[in-house]
Amino acid sequence: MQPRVTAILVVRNGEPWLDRTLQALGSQTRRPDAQVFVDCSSTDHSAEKLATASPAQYVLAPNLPLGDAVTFGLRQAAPAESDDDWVWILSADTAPEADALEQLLAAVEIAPSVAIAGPKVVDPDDRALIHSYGESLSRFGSTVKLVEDELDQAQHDLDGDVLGVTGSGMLVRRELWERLDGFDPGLPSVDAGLDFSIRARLAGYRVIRVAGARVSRGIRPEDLGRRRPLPGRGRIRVARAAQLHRRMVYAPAGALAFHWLSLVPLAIVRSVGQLLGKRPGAIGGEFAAALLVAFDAGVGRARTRLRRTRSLGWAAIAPLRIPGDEVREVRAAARDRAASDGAEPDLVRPAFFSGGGVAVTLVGALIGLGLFWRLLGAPALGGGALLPLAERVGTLWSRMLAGARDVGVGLTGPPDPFSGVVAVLGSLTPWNPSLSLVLLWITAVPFAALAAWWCATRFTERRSPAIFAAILWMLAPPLLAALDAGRPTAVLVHLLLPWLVLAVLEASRSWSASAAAALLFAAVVACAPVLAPALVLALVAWAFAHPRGLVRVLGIPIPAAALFAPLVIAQLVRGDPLGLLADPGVAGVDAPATGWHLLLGQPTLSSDGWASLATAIGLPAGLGLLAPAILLAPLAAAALLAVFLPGSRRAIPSLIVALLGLVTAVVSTHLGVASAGGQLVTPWAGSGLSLYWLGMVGAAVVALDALASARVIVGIALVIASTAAVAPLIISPVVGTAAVTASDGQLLPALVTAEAAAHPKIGTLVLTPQQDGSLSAVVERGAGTTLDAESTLWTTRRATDATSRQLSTLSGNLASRSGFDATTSLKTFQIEFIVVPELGTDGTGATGTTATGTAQTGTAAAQVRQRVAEALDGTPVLTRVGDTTSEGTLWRVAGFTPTAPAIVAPTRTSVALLIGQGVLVLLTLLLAIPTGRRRRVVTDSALPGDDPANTFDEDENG
Amino acid sequence: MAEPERTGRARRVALVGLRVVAGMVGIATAVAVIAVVGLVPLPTHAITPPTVVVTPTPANQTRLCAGGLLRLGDESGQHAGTASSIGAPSVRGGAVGASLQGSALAASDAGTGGASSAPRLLSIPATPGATLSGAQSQVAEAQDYSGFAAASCAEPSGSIWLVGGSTSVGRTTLLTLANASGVDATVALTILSPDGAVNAPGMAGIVVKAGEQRVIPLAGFAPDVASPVVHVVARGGQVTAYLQQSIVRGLDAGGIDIVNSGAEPATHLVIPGVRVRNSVGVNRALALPGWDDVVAAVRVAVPGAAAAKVQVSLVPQDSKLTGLSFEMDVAAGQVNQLPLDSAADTDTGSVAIPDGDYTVVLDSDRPVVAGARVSTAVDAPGADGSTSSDLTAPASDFAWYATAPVLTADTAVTIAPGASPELSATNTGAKDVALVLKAQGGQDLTLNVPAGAAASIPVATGTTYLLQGAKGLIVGISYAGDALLGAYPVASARPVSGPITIHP
Repeated sequence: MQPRVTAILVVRNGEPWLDRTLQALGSQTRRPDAQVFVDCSSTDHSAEKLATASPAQYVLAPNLPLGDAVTFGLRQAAPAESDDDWVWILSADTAPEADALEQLLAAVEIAPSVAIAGPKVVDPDDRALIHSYGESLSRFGSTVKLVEDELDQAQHDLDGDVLGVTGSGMLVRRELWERLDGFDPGLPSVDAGLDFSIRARLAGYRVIRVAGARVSRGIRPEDLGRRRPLPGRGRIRVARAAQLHRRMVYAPAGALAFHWLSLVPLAIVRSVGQLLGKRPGAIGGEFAAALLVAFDAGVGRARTRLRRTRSLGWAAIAPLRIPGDEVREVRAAARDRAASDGAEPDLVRPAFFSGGGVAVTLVGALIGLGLFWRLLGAPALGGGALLPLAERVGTLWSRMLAGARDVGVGLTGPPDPFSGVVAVLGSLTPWNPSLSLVLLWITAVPFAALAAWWCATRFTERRSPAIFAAILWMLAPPLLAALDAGRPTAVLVHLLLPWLVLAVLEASRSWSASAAAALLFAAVVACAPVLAPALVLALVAWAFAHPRGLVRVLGIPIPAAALFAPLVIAQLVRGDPLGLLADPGVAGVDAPATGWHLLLGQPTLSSDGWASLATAIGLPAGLGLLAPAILLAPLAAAALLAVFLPGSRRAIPSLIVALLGLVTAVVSTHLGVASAGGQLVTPWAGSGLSLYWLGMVGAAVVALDALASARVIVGIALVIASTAAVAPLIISPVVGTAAVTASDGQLLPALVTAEAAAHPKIGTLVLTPQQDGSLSAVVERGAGTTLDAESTLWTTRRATDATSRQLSTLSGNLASRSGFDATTSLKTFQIEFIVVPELGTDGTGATGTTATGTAQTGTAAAQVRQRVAEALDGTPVLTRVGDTTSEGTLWRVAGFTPTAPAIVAPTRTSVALLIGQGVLVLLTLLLAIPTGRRRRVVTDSALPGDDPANTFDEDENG
Repeated sequence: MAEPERTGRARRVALVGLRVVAGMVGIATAVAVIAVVGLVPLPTHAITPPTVVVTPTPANQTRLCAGGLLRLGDESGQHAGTASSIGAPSVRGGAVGASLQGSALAASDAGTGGASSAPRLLSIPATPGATLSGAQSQVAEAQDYSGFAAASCAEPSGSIWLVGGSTSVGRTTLLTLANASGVDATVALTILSPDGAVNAPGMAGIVVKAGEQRVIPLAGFAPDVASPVVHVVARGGQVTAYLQQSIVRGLDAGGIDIVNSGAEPATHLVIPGVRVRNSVGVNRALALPGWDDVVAAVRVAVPGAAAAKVQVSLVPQDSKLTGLSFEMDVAAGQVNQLPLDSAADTDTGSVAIPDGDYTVVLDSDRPVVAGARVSTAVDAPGADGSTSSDLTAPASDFAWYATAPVLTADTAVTIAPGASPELSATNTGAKDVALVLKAQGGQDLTLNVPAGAAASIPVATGTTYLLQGAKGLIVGISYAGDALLGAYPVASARPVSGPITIHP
């Protein structure tokens, strides 16, 4: 008997495709016996087009998914006449080739057990490109497309039986369609055909694909009826929802509860995978799909329908599932295709090994060793703003909890984000966290060179400018000044800034780079909060210059914002928003530089070795600026020259960054936001100067890149002049006049340290004579306040509270011959020891800016010191212990009995806060791990010479 | 093909023009930025660091007197290693604004513990604005000991400079250390001599227990040193320290004195109210063998590591007299002692320094410590009006004048009993000062001290005066009778008890 075919064409706003589809339908070699056009309430001109195409049964339906629309249309069609009645499912965008129906029918006629036949779904513009040709399941039930976006070379044509076919162009027995209730309404788009095929197979029918029948498909099934195609993350959500729905439907009743409970945990696990796969946008879809399915009433109906129609066991379709290794193969092939589709242009840069990257790093390593040979073998560093770290890594990490902080008289508040940086740093040498700072000091120069070299390769494709950039960066005045003056935060900023730039440049096109930039941004801002305004400004500008990666660039400050949020709130509550700009760690007193010094890259007056030199040979100190000004003039000239030369698209942003850095440095010197011992402390201007120097070097590199033959000569001259300009900063640590020194890691006399081992909360009152004849009083707990325990909430304090006034009264009276009974106060503060540091060794006392200043202020400090020492000697409750050591003179409180410290458990809020921050950072880290394929790297030697760096051009064009 | 070529050239020209414009803008911006950063003063944000000015709870104020004069060995010459008392001093004390309490130190090497010849501790309870002072004097009337010694009761301190004493033949010098505090003191001595610092075992770690007086013969550390200078550094409790020097020339007692502590090392030192008596007799006695130390002399020591050039000026209060001035070099760590009349022509045998009140002013390029010694020798004319026999030793005494510190506030001073006490004040300021001596039970006095000059006024013995308007003055008390010389400086309460700025 002749089979009877009813073609159902479902249209929902399919105007662009409709003409072609109708024409294809009309020109079939085997005309369908009946045609039903189902118009799902189209709002465009589809209805008119359908009306003009005759002869057709036109049905106006509500907006239904494909399956329901087919069922709706079938109800309007003539009833089935026999078992050999077929339904051909078409949508507006599926145009069958002329012989499609003929081929399909030919295939089903010879096999009565076949109930479903699927055509080869091809691209409308290229009939050799297969979009879909059979679908199957993996062992775990996820959809496997047997062929997807593959070039048709007849390689799949032999295959007949498949587990399922897609809904578009599907030819299905009408009797089966009605028996199985059509497509599952719970699967409105993807997997509808597959699910239907599986149910058909379980009902005892066969499903085949027909190689000769081609149907072109204009849009993906999930985009049917949509005005705009779904973005990638939307497709992932729809596919995941479909898979979960099928899982809930197919699962045995006993496993249903387990599957339901696993929905959200699986979403979490898969989100991690999505992060690793650089699809952070898909995470929302994972959870949306899980929640959708968790509360999906359609599951019950679908399960009933499946149970009713199923006649075979699941084992029957097992052979048609795709084994794991093949699934992996199929997916790898799909990834390859995706990668080759959106292939990034090659990255051109000098090779790391032969291009000078290794060489300049090795030279940097030798310089680093030469500069800081005095620190070799030291277990810790001292001087400047350097302190040892806590002895145990666990302590370092515990500092990140908000709560009681053992700094000064103690305070309660959130941590500085810098404590996270310190914890990471200290964890590098877990057996002695303080050692990490020593290593940082010795390796800072080579690491700076390495970072700068990599960063410079994005500005130039040639070897020599990158090498010059590395040298200029590793011998930058702000780096050397920070190393000499003992400023760990500024050193870290200098080492991280080139990487940050590198990551930000990539961020507009790569999630991985964006996340890496976010982490680097958080680290840099944690080290130098004063840089935050300039960096955010630069990021916003960069984001709007590259709208393609707007979200990826604007998202960079998110982890930093999350880390800073508690501190921001705490400072706002205190009414001291500017306190947020204070440098974390020790508040190091230093003479702020003048504007001229800043222009020359010198962050403090004490780093101005040229001035000392000028004074030494009898010239005014101001003339000392002349030498570096002359020596740095070539660099400035090169940086400005870059604007005149080709490549100004790289040079102008560099110079703007330089300007931002300079403004930051200048503002830094005018922000007395913290204090130490009654003296104002400004943020270290060197952090801003690092940014300034970055921009200048960047522009100079662009200029060198553009200079053809003169490149090497000019570069060498630049490097020599700039190196000469920092000669005093280089000599200072070599001869040992720098502030940074090797330390034994002891902050307090050995007796205190020994006692603190038994009673970690005992207090030591440190009375430090100040230059102006005043006295700073600080209570140290245990073995002393380590770098990780410092807090900007403490250094930016302004008002005195009852506790600090009580401490002042105690200290003032201890420093005087008085009738004050210190016993009660000493007990309140749990003070067992009192230390009066030697003058000059602790950086307060006798250090001054000029020679005369030292002499005058030293006397005031010395008088106070003697007053304090005499008074302490004469206090009956105190006993002088031993004699003066390098840490100072020590007194012990007689008859001190330590009370057991109250163990304060961290509050639930602080733990939750830390977990939240930790999760965010962890997610960023996962996103930052590079998993995708890299851009292909070519070195300039492989290329014909003169193309400029493409970093910026691509962004412009892409 | 000409058309695209022309457009290409036009584009190139436009591009170069654009670059030049951009470059010019860049240079202009750079110049503007440099000018603003280098030249424009910008506003500054500055927090107020936490600061608390603490006024210490007032403590009991104490003054500890020197104690009675001592001899080594007993009357019979036995027990030469131990000191024993040769009588009790007259101690006078007074307090302003509080009631004075007194007690004797409980223990002494000289066995005087608790007795009237023990160092006397004067104290007043902590009272705002209250102050006290005390002084003692004693006339020695024992075998080998004659003369007058006066000393102020000193505020215990951790650092005491004593310029005086001698351990030459016939000269005995005892160092007394007393600790009235509640904690034991550990004392380290530095003894400077004309040959530099003296090194001897036992000079450090001398323990002076709480409430104890130690007596140490200086010769034990520095034998045969004509001009020692002692620096006492105490750790733990604070102490008072005095030197007691006595002279025996041949068989004749040549005088006794207690050396008071002087000012800390400084480049400008003043010894106020140096009274010269019997200058003719002294001049004559100089000729006697063994009497060369009756000449008025100044002793200077340099505690530092660099030699000092010291200008010594002897300024008479009486404008009719002429001053003397000379320069002396003192090597680092050494002591130099020169006669005060070094600048005068003494070969003529005339008296270079006539009787009168003088001020000794020392100006140095390095911090130094100093003291002056003045002696009397009674010029007893013979019955025939001629001079007595050159072989007869005249009655004699001497006094060590310590450098006095600049007074920092109204200061109390007690006048110990003695012969014709005088208060001398030196005004180093630029304004005349009317110093009011407010007697605590007695007649108030007023002394006008002209700017840059000195003045003296006789004061009543046993009286405590509050010196009002004394800030900036340098004041000393001196006694002068026949063969009875004594002096002590006046010091304000040390600022250790003043307010202090604390940064918590």
